[in-house]
Amino acid sequence: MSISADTIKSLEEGHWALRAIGPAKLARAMDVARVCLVKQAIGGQMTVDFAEKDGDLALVERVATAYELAAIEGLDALLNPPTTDEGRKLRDQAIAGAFRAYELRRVLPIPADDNARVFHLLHDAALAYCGDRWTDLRRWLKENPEAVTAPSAAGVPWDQRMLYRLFECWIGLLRKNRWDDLDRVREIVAGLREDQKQHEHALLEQHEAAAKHAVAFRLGALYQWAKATEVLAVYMLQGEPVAVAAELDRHFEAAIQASRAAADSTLDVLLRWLHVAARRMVAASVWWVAQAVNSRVTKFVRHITKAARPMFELLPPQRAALQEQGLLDSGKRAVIVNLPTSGGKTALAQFRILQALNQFDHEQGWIAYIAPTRALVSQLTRRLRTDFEPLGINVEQLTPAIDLDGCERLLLASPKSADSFHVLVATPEKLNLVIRNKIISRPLALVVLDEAHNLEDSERGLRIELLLATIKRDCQSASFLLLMPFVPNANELSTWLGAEQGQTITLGTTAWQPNERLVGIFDAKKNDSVRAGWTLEFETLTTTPRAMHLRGVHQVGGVKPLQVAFSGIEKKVTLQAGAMAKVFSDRGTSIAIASRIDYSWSLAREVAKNLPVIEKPGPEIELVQKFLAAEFSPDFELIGMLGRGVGVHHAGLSEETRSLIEWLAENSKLRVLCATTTIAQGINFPVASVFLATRKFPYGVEMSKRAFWNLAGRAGRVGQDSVGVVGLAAGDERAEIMKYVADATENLVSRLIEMMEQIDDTRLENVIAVLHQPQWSDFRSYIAHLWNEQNNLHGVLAETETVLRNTLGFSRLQASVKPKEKAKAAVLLEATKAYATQLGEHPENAKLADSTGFDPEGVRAALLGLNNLTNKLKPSDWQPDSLFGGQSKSALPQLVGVMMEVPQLRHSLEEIGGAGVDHKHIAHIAHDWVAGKSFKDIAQAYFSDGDKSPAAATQAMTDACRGIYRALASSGTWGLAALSRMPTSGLNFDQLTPEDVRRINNLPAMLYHGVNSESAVLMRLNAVPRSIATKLGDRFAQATGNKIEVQTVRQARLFLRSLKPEDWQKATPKDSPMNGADYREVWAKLSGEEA
Amino acid sequence: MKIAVGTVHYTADEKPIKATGIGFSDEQLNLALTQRVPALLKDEAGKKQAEDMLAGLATTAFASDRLQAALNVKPEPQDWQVGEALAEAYLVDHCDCEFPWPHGRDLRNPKASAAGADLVGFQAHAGKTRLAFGEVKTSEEEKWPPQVMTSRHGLEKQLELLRDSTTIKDHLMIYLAMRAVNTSWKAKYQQAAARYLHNPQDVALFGFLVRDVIPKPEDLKERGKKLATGCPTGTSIELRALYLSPKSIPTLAKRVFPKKGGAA
Repeated sequence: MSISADTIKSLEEGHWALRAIGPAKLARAMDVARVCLVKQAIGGQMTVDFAEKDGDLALVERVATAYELAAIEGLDALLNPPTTDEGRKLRDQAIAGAFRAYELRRVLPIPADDNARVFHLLHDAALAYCGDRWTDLRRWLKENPEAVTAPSAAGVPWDQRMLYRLFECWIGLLRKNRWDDLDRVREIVAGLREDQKQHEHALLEQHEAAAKHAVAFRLGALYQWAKATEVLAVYMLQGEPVAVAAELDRHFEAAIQASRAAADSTLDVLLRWLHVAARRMVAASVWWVAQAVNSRVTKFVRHITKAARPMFELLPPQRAALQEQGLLDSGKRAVIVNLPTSGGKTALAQFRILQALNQFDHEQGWIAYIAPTRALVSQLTRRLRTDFEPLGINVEQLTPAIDLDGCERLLLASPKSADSFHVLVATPEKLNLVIRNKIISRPLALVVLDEAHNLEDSERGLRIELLLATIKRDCQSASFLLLMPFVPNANELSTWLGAEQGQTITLGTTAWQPNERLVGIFDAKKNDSVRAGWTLEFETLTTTPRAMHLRGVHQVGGVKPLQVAFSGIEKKVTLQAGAMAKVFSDRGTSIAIASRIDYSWSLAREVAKNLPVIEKPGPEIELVQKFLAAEFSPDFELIGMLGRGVGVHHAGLSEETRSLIEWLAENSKLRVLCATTTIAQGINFPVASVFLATRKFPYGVEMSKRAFWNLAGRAGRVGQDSVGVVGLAAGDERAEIMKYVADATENLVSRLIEMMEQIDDTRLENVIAVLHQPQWSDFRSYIAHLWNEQNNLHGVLAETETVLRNTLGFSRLQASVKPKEKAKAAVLLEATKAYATQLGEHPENAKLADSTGFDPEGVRAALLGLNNLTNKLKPSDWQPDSLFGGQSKSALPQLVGVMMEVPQLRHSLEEIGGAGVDHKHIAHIAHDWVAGKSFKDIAQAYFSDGDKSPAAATQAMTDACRGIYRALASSGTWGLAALSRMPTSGLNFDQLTPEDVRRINNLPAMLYHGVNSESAVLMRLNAVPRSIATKLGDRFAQATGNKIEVQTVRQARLFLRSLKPEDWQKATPKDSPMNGADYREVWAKLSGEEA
Repeated sequence: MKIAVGTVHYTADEKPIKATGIGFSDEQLNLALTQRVPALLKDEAGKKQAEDMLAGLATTAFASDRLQAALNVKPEPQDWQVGEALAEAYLVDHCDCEFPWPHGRDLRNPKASAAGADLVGFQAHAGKTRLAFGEVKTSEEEKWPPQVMTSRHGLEKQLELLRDSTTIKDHLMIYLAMRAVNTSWKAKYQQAAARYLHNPQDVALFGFLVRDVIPKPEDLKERGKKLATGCPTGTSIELRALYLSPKSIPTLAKRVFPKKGGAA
């Protein structure tokens, strides 16, 4: 039932009422409505260049009426599910007509007279519901609190009192801010029944017989309407009665009959619209899903309707996915959901997860939820845990480190019990390790892949594709759910993963949008009204996907919105983006995107300089400031910036800091957030506007259109901003940008195909040599896994083609009608077989590849490296005290040296500090990091060039963060874990006690988290800030009687939940800028726990 | 049978407004009241509507006893209702109008939520159909013009509002759209609505005054002048005063319903 933009277009061209007005006037009315909306939304920030004419609003009203007339013709079809094509066409016509009618009417002035206002607003609201625009309506209601205040019912005649009170009920029903909004409806209607005894008589007695009849009928209509309102509210709250549609029909039809008998055409028209709106509200209710599925879903729905931010209704794309396109059809093995950004994909995944858990209840099946970044893994875990834990569904996350630490191994291997996890959230790399090593014995029921368009990512795309292929082969009972925006060929993915049991739910062309969006280019233009003056100009562009287009060039802000001379900004696109963000920050957080981390810092400095210090920044900002002071340094530059409402978000900050900054942005506590282009890869929170200095990543590659639109989709918060603004700096690329946003997003292409295409014809005869290139590393690991599974060359060669067919790339090439592509498939198959044969010479490397995550060549390099060590490793070298202890005795420098021989690790480790950095230096940093030294100390010791300026200190801190998180915590951890598993590591796991195994398995985790005890690792796994993790970990160890076997992630979480602020206070380091309550608050935010 | 065309007593046109005073003889009135008007005033559905509504109220948990008592009292037929029926018949029979929906005639609702019009329908005009709205006043006041023409809610103000306000006309058009589904007059409605949407001034407005006093152009003259000022070119406004024999108006209802004594 979700209508597309094409349905609306065909209505405009084909319907008699719209043809009567003519295309020129229709276009004018839409222009006027757009301008009005933009002026209402961002008139304070942008001067819209538009010449108004007399009669513009009258034209808007007339065109709205024409659309409404078209909608009316299909109202019956909207109420009663049509069975014919004609009926379906009428139904779509009704939705499309109401969609546009509301779009136009919402900008019309609200009548001053109370009665007229009540009818006007309810009429508009009903149109919004029938046109699938309830999200727009809710936002409007929020933005116009005065307009929706119910007129006073004191002293007015009884029928008017009824009307006003029912208006109040409906505003609550439409707004649904809280559970109370709905619960109050019952109270009001019950109150009206009491009031009837007191007031009805007087009204009836006022009139002589004929008029009395009319009044009686009118009251009858109002009573029926009141009952229908009550029925609707109860259903939205409780999902009962199940036969709500019939109940609503009965009362509304009786109300309409009575209003007709009363010759009250206005009430008649309104009730007819509200009848349809009420039915639409029921159809979109979350309870509808509960009826259709199972008890887990029912419990979930009960929970989300009572949450702090309750969810009562499905967004139109969600409803379409669930009700029309069979998202919950258990017969489907692969479902690809192609939805616009902010279309509510996570909630859809939640429904599908519950269904899968139910399906695999007996076998205790588990769900894998894959997210691309550490921040998203944490964010999703928080959300899923909040929603699922009350239902007894355990959600756990794995760190992105390519290593399964001791705690994680315990978690995954836990037997079937009430404590075992149901949903596991992880990055693709981590899940790969889990799947290939068959760590979990329970069946995998469902894999949810978020941001699945990363399949085309040049770095990780192939890895993700091969992960899915592995799951397809190794976990035969698993279903797939892929969530992605703007993928025209999503069908290919569902066919790949599900064959005939594949289903694509494509709602990319839906007319519904979370909000309106302006997408355009900006530039700085000279303005001589002041010395060295300039202004910002914004011009909207024609885009695919559709965004709002305003003709003309519009001035943003006043003259010199940043105190910079024209010559200082004319060519500086980063500053221009900052100036745009500053102007638009009046209406909520604006993001300014720079191409590099250092640019984003200098941008933040400039913007902060131009914004006043916030007198009372509020507890949220203050909390983050204290956190930064404790974890980084009290003189960290970001603290002062936050005091002016400016935040920074990039890879040069810790993940916790980024999470807290996102939290501030999401809650509109920031004015401007200065970020880098990489934010596009992980942004999952809405903001008011986004301005890009560049659409290129720091390494010069252009952001894919899909990634750009995903980022643009974050501009405008559902329920808050009528208009989201997205701007690109024109610079000297105006034409290129216009083309970039105008062209449709391309098909998603498998990385494997892309890589095959990159092989020029001359090398096709020797693809085996190409397979040894670094970019084929994941592919080689994939074949190594096959070796592990088969254990003999004969079996491997027999299975190679099947295994290749499991990949998207090979299956597409092989099925292609183009001979050249088919030939490439054949070449790849032969090369793969040849490579598999080579692997057969050292099958042990293949085995180690699976357990370490290295490719077989990496395994070989590591083995060689360890063999070449002058001092052979002993078990004692792998003790935490020894490895991270005194530098002279530690084997860590040697191990780092070996790591740097492994191609998969070398590049990232070299990044840590630029030229001249050797393995000893890296080992020293690792030592200090695990020992608990602060970022500031590490930055000063290893990343400072002696410059004491704040900017230099910030740069050193940024480099330290990047070094630790991007190099040490990822590659260092991975390397340490992998090397410990090598036969020449000096360890023989078979001869170690379980405690020792666990201790050794936890070494990489200590490096990852920057702590030096296992109990501190458990604290860090539960989002405890590093500066308190060790002390709090000690308390946890004590609380468990130092019994290591009960120290699990879950037990640690329960321990943390049980702590009071004073307990946190006891663990708080001396002189810390944070007190116990602050630490607890930060932990609550980062872990998703209620503070 | 058509209602009589009557005798023209005067014309008081004020361009573009047409204004005509016409008279009915007693015989012409009698024929109209006995043969044309009763069908327009019949309200056979009324009783059933009341029964249905009262029965339905039981499920709302609102009390229905007072409403039942109110609906049990049969309203006396009103002379102004007959006046409206005369006007409707006249416009249908002699001015190419059609009023498919008996809007607001059988019951006068003092609290009707919106301004509307007494008569809402179509007029055949220039080979096509356009929207037609009529306002009717019945007055026995021996004053020219009577107050029903000049008061705050008088005929002139009502017509002025209909002439100038698209809100009322839009609402009525939406109301008709809801009624038009599956009716014989749907095509006419679409034609009229399309014409209106193309040019909202393209409508016919009728002001009908029913009198039982001596015909005098003063009844219409000044109203016509005022309505002419600012009248959009596309809008046609026609004023008619129908003069009946003196003291006829108080007898109208009784003459239509001599035995039953009730319209409902």
